[in-house]
Amino acid sequence: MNADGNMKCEEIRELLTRYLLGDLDEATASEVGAHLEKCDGCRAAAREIEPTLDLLRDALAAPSKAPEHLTSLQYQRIINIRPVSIRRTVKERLSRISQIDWWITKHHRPLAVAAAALVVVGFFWVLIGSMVPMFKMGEVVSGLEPAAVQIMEPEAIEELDEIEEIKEIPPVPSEPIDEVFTPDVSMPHETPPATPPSDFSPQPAEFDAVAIIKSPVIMKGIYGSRSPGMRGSTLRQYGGGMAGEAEQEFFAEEDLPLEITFAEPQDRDEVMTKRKKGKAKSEEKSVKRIAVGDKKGNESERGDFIAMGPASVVEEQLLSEEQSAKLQALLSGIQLPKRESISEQARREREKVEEARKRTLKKLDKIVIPEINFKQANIRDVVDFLTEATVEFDSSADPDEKKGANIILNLPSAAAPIEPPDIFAEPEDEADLKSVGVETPLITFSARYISTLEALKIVTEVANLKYNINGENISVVPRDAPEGDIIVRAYDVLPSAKEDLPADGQEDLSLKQFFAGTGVRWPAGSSIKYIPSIGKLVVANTEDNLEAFENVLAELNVREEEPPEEAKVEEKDLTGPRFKAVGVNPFYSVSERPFSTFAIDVDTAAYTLTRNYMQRGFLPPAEAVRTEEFVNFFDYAYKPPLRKTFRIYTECAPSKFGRGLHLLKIGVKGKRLGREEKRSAALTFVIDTSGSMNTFDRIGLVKKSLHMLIERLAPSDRIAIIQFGSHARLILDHTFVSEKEKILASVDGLQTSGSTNLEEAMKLAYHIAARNFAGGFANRILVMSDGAANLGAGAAEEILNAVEQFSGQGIYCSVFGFGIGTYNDEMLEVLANKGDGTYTFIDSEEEAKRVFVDDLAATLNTIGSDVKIQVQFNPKVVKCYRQLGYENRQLKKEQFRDDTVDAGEVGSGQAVTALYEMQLQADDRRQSTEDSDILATVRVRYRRADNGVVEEMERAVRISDVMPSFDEAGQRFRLAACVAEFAEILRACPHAAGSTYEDVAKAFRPVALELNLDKRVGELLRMVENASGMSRGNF
Amino acid sequence: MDGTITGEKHGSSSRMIRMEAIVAEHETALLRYATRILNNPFAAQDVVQNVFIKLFKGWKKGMRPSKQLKSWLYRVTHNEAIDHIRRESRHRLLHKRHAEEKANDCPDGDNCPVTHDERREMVLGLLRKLQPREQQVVLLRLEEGLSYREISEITGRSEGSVGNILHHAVRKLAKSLNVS
Repeated sequence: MNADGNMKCEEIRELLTRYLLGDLDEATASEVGAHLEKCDGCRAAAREIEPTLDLLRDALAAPSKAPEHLTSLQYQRIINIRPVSIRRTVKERLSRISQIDWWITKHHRPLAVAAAALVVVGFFWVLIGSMVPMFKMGEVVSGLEPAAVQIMEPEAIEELDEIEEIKEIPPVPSEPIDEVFTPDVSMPHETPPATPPSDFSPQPAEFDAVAIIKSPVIMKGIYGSRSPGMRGSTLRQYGGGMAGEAEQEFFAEEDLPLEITFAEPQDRDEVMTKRKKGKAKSEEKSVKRIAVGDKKGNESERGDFIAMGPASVVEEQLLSEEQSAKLQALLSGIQLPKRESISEQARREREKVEEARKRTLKKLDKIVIPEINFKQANIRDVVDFLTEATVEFDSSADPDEKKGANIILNLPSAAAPIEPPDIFAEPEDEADLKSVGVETPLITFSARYISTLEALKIVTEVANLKYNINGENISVVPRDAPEGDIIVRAYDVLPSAKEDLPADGQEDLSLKQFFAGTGVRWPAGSSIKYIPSIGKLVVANTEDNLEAFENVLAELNVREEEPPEEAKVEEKDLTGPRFKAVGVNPFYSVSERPFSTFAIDVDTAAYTLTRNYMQRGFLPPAEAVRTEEFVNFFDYAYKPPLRKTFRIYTECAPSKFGRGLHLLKIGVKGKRLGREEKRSAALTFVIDTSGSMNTFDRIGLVKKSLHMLIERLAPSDRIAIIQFGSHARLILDHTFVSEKEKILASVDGLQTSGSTNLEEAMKLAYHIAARNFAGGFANRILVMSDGAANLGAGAAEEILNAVEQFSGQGIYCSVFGFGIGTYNDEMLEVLANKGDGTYTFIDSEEEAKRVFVDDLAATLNTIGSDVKIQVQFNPKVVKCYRQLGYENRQLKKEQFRDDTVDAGEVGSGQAVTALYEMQLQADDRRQSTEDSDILATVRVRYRRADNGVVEEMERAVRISDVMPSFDEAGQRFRLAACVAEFAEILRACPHAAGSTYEDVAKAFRPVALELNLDKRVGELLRMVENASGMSRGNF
Repeated sequence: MDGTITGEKHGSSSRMIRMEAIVAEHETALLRYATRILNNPFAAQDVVQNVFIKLFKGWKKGMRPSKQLKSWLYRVTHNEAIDHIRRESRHRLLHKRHAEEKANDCPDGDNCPVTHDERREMVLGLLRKLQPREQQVVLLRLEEGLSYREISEITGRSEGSVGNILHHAVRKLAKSLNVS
């Protein structure tokens, strides 16, 4: 800055971004503003970057594809970190390892696992230099031992004790083979032409020359790394191999999962629910224990996959329960098209193929290979070995049947139509395959008495391949090879489910993951996308997989199938304010419905909102008017009870507006807490700092309100502040009000930008509030927003459920609305209702003062919750009645005494007023019996906030209490009548048809005169008088 | 085995609770931040995991999260993410990514963004091409909504210099947007 206070252009330009973002302090900002007025050059510079800033903000406000949470496996890994120990090097390796197996367990996608083989290859390269493919065929030991199979686990190779342990595993019953090998969901279609390697012969003799490898990396053959980058780091890490001791430590630290289990396809149904631990499971039908070592791992069952990993793996692969619940909800909105049944011929053809397949499967399972011992064997050799073994050990009694099975290896080469996964990206020429090709997976695995089928499973799993059975041919192909042509099918999506689906054209991995968890495979080239422009979920996959996909959908989709009609999307006006019309209570006949039950509502937002509209010269939209909130805005001078929690007031007189009707006014006043009764408050503020709040009547008013409120709080109260725009963040954790400066600095530092991510904010708020929950305090979340929340319907529900749950545990939620225009009234009101809090609209500093200063005690200190009122009309006196307002608070008669029903909350000194219009029975029809004097009985039921006890009180309204005429009734009674009538006309209530604003004004003027000290009454009179000349606003 | 495990867990339970709280509080923001830099949600999870592992490895008994914790997390996340990109860039994946982003570059008409989403993608693509420190400041200010003081804590630069970096980053973006 220059000495004279004027900045040069260069200096100004440096500040332009900050100026446009509103980040400069006031003095500098005004200086820049003034300069821009005069200086064309700088103005041009500002114009240049302004649209960019808008674009940037817009781009960053777009929903991010970022995951909200770490995976549970990663989470486990973090939480299980122990502080640095002496063995630092091991630790460092550990973190590497965790990365690696994270990759695989997270994705468990073909591509991911593919890398595994290369890790092994690379390792061998470094360790041994060159490698010859080999395997060992053990001698045939006449079958005595159970078919326990073991993958050699590095430690186990040496430690025979462990192997002994394996023998103790109860044998797996071998009979139910038919049951076990029900067909795979993924039915093979066409097997690509086989290219069996011709120049290979088994070389068992060379086995002795191979060193036994003991390194965790061998196990990593089942794990894998996903990107070449990871591969590189793995090589570096393990290039030198691990010292024995370090290795021990490594395993001890990492709690590596060492239990592998198989689940057969029919287990799929259970996959979603299975969370069983321990060994007992091995006795159950088809699950076989393949290897046992350390005991930590959970069983992870997933189709016919082998899965291994720590306890969290199951959740990992199958999504968390919450996620899948959400997905399921979402997917039930996807409509299944009606499919014509497959033609008879095609069906028979299929059945034939299927039968052959079953036979082959059975055969493979029967052929037991006494011993397998592969050490870094080339997949080609392994496959050939298996093929030969099937012939050699085929003990089939049927001489007609061909012995053995034909296993064909079909790995991608450069010419293969399948896009090779990354790991196979640089395939070498066919000629080189004889040597240990980089692109061919190596297999290390040993087993005894293993069926060929299982051997095949393990081999393909380890090598990240899969096998397809087509008739009598078995082909081993890359896992992501599609088993047929990719077909694209589109599914209609119900409009209700749309909002939950991922954004335009983006592939949703969680969707894929979800279906993968239910057994649908996603080979290369498959995709699942939601395309909003046509409102369809487009799925590309092979026919079999599509069928599996549809089966899953059908299970999720309980709805009746509907013809695939073009889904009709309701055009929603997202820009304008949204209000929900709640209808109008009708007249009920007392003889049919003597009870009127409702939850109390002390909100006043509808009135202030209306006032705001009218001050701008418009009438509010009819839906924005709620009669009870108008009535409750005014003070009816009820005296607070001294001892009891509530006191009931009733007043009745002929109605001024409804001909021949009487008006009954019921007031319930809560006691005023003394200073010592007031609880300390633990307040979590949720402040909307989205771009739409950036006007003085919003963020400015919010800051003013906070200042007022903080001034009124006691030093022992605590405050936390969360601000939210595109994202929520905690700017002040719970701080005692005694540190006022710190709190106020945070308040003043609030800056607006971005969209309105109320969802995230509420989540964070409850997280913070729960973490700082203080017993004996008034724990409350205070939301201050203009309500223009970008919430999907599902999200709203989720929030509301959470809000309800927390309010049951003592964290309440109050909502304060600011600003008008993009105001989402409905959302905020529901939020407050569910949170057992009040919903208040703040349109001015005065209103802020009323709420945060005058009525602060009421806002913060609840005296009674779940407050319900029931009025029982006496049919002998009252013919019919109608309640004015409270339409969305109506309860059933029996809910009155059901204390689980959520109802309204009343703060210290607060009052609630309810009005009824009644038609009384003609005098001569009243029977003079004992109870004929009683007009109605009012009951109030509530839960005391101080001790949680539910209390009920009642008061009778007697005929003798009824005033002879409207004008003789009390001023406040007449006030209430006028307010209600005004609201009824404003909301175009049919029962008020014929009444005009002028009628109300006429009746109201004398009342206003009598109550001239009440500023609100005077204000209302002006509103009533001006109303007739206004038209409705709709923004 | 069960006995030892539970015994140990019990001993460090308060530490674990605090660790959990820290993860729960920061993971979403850090994941969002890392995803923006990496344009890959899975890599972002990986990076964030490592950040927390780094944090808790140094955790000693009785340690409490300090006020600078958030700054530290953002800083380390940034560094880890940049490391990740560098590691990745040695390999083909980067070429792939470049190719993808090239397509977003909008040379002459063909790939010009038409829809709103495409435009957003283009802006984000350009943002990723900025210098790491520029990217950092833009994201921290405009997405995370941090104040200049907080950003200066994270980056170790003065508030003024943060402002200047932001300004130059925006101007760079403006230029490339205007060219295309």
